[in-house]
Amino acid sequence: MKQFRARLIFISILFGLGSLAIIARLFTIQVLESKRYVERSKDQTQQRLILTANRGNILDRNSLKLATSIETDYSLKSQMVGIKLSNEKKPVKRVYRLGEIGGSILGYIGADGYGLGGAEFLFDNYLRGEDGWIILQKDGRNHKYRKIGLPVKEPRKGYDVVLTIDSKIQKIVHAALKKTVTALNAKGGMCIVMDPNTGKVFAMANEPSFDPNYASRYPLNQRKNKCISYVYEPGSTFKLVTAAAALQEQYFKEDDLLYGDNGVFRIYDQMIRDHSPFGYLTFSKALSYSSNVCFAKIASEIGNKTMFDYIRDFGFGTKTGIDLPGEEIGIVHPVRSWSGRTLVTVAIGQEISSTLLQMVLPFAAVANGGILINPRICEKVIDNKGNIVDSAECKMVRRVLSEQVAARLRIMLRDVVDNGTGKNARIEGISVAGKTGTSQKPDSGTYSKTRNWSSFIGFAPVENPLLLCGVVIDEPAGGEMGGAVAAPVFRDIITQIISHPDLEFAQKILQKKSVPVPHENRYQNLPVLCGKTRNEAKAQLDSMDIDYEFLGNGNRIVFHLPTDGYFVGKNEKLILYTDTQITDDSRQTRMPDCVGKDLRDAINIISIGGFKPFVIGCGTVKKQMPAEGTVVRSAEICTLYCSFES
Amino acid sequence: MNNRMARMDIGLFVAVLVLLGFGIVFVYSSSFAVAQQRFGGSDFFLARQTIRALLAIISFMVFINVDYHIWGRLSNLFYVASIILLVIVLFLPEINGARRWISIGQFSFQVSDFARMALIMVLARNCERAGDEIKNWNVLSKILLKAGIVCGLILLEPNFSTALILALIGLMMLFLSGARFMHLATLAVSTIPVMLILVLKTPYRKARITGFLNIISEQSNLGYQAFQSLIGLGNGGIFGVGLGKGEQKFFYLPEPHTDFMISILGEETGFIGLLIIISIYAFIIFRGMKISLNAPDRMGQLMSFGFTSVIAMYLLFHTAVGTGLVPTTGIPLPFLSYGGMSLIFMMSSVGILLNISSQADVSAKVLQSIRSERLIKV
Repeated sequence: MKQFRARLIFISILFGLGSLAIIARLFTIQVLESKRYVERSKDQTQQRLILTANRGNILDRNSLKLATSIETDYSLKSQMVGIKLSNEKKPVKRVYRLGEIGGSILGYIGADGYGLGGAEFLFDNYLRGEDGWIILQKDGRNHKYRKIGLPVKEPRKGYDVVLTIDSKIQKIVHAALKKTVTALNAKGGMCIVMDPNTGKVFAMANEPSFDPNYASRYPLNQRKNKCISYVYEPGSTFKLVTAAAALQEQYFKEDDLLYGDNGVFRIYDQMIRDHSPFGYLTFSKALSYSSNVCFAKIASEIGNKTMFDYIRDFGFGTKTGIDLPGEEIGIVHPVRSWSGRTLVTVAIGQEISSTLLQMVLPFAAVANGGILINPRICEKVIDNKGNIVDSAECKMVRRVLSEQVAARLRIMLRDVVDNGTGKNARIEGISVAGKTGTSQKPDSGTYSKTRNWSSFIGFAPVENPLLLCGVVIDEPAGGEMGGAVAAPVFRDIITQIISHPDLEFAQKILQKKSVPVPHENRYQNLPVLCGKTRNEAKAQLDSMDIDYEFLGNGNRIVFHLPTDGYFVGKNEKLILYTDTQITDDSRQTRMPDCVGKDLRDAINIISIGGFKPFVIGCGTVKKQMPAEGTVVRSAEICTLYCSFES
Repeated sequence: MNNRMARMDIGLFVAVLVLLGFGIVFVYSSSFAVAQQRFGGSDFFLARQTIRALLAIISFMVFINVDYHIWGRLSNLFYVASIILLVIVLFLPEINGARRWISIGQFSFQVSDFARMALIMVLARNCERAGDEIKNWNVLSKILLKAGIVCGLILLEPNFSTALILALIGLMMLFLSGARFMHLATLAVSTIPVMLILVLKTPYRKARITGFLNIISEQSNLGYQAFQSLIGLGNGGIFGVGLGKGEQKFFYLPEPHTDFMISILGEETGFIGLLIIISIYAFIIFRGMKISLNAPDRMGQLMSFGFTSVIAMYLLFHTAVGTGLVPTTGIPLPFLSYGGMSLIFMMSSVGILLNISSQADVSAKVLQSIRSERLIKV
């Protein structure tokens, strides 16, 4: 019994020691090393899940969705504790409703959800929003749960970016450009439509384009927005800059005569040629007929320094500042590196290159009264409650032309379309101004005969420009001229825009023109005015409520436009030409006879006689003022009235 | 009946009831996730544990009222029955890689649970019969053989840990009944190479050992379960994360409601909670030892020691596994772990233990008189 007791106590002590060992072990784990295990537990039971914020939409100016994200809905509120979270992370799916239409403006996003081009790239910070996160409970099978009490930060949806782009215009532009590029088997094309007053871009199209829904299927080069990144030689469209410099600096007036050298102008070893030989042209007609020779001469008058200043002031060689990524600055050589012939080649748009966007801005300046504007594509950025977060202002870069010069250039550009190389841009019922351009592509040191950029840049209506459109067709088949290729695209686009019932332009143009009046009141038969004195004509016209203007300093009316028997529109101006009074007879000459002669010959004859011709119309001379044989002072202006057949 | 209940060790009984109550709470806390996943209802184990606990208390009621001497007389019968069952189970289909269970209708039980009771009874009876002759190797070896057959058959199931526990309990019973220390020590030492071979020849046992050695490095997959158990304990800290709020039961621990109950308890009630629970066990074991000391005869002494040491050994093994002190093996925590028939067997042995206590829990004189009375009667 004694032995049993001893042995039982011995065993009990063993059990006791075992228990103490266990307790010591528990103390180590639970008290001394607890912190480490708590962390390990957290590591394995909690997982931070990033909740990707839904990307904001890109809208057009009518709030139509151009780019939207398929909402990755975590529906945090509806998730109950302990229910498995099924969709942990979905790749961001971006939908571009218009497909390849406008792809180059919108850009695209990469697999990581970051914008990689166009508006998607530039406004990425706004669009992306703020990712949220959630701490999920994870069990041993790696299933994840939401658990009450664990912190959550809900994602903030990205802001919506409203563009100045109009889907309808974009569609029109895209289709028109695509049609022409396909029909002419051209390499490509670009087109910009914008508001010349505010710089808001309504449309910007590239051909070939790309569909941002499947961006990765297109070569990188095709995903670029060529309107702002493709550099080309603007050619004759650039003559506007030269003409603007000449007018603004008062080297020339519209009716100053220039001799076309019959189409060839030699400077150093290079020939400047015209597409057809010209004799004498007025400054204005030189633009209308796009005479390279005359513009070479104009540039020679202007000189390097002034020419360069205007090129620079019109924004060449610098970014336009449009809110799109990837803009190129073009190539403008500094004056010090100009060769002897650079001045004249630059004047006709060679040895200089720019983007289409840079090239349309001088036209916008002419259209809006002389201000170089900052083009833009973003209207505003709005948050999820509709508050405006950021908005783009209409910004002017600088005044480059005076109001008057801009107005005179508008009339000159209108003549390009009405009578010159841009006839294909004429649109029924609306006045159009613009300039054609055909620039041969550089080809191993010289210029290619067959490969060119054909362009047209213009605006309408001239009286109150609302739309500015620039078109470039890259390598049209057969080396077609800008007037033949690009001008019809312009006409096509503008016609569709102004006749589109859902767009505001038709309404605006109509309002500006006049309050519609009954047809019988709209036009008035002209009375017989020739031979009457100023005062008689004044009295008569005032009574008929016809607007009029006198030209000439004489007292007797010799001719008027429109001529007898024609109607004059309610808002048209009747121009009355008077005979010319001679005040200084120190040097008198007889006026040569020009009536019945070809305009070009007439200009020659008049010039040789020491007179300055003022041409109205074109074709054959019908009448001259002063009349043949009249004794006049030399250097007097001789007005040539021509038939209006070209 | 009331007589017995009045004279038994009430403290021990209350302690066991407290543990049973804890068991129901923690079985639910630890099993609802597993139950939801496996059976589609979080209260699957809770409901069963509650029913088993009630059945266990009923069987306790039965056993406390049966004089333990009957078990001595029936012990050889039970022993033979358990041998037959242990052989039968070897021919039944495997469940989780071992043949341990026999199912009769809805009920299934581990044969080793029954064999354990039978072995303790038969050893107690045989040692009492042997008396001082136990010091004789020939006598001792016959008794050892009986224990060896049971342990060997359990080892064949295979169930190494249970076999080891039963062998240790058997050796302690023989040691208590007066066997020579040298005999037992020689035997124990001679089994070490056998055990080593058994461990090294069996890939899963070897893997568990390797995993156990790698717990510290935390990298091994084999140490995963043990390390998860440590995370549970450590995460609980001093005061625990609170009832039901543990993380480890969510499929980090393989059998949270049975083999890793300590980890769940430690995580939810902390070091303090485990101290209390271990103290309750210590109290039960202490009382069990006291019953053994005060038992009216050698068989009662040995039987009560046997049943008490089962509780102690299971507690030590379970906590040692849970704290990573020994390789992972499936030993439940008595009264607290979810268990079907094993809980009923365990409460039955508590019934026998308290029956012994009811016969001893009187003064020595009364004890003496009862003994003489009975002797006279016999």
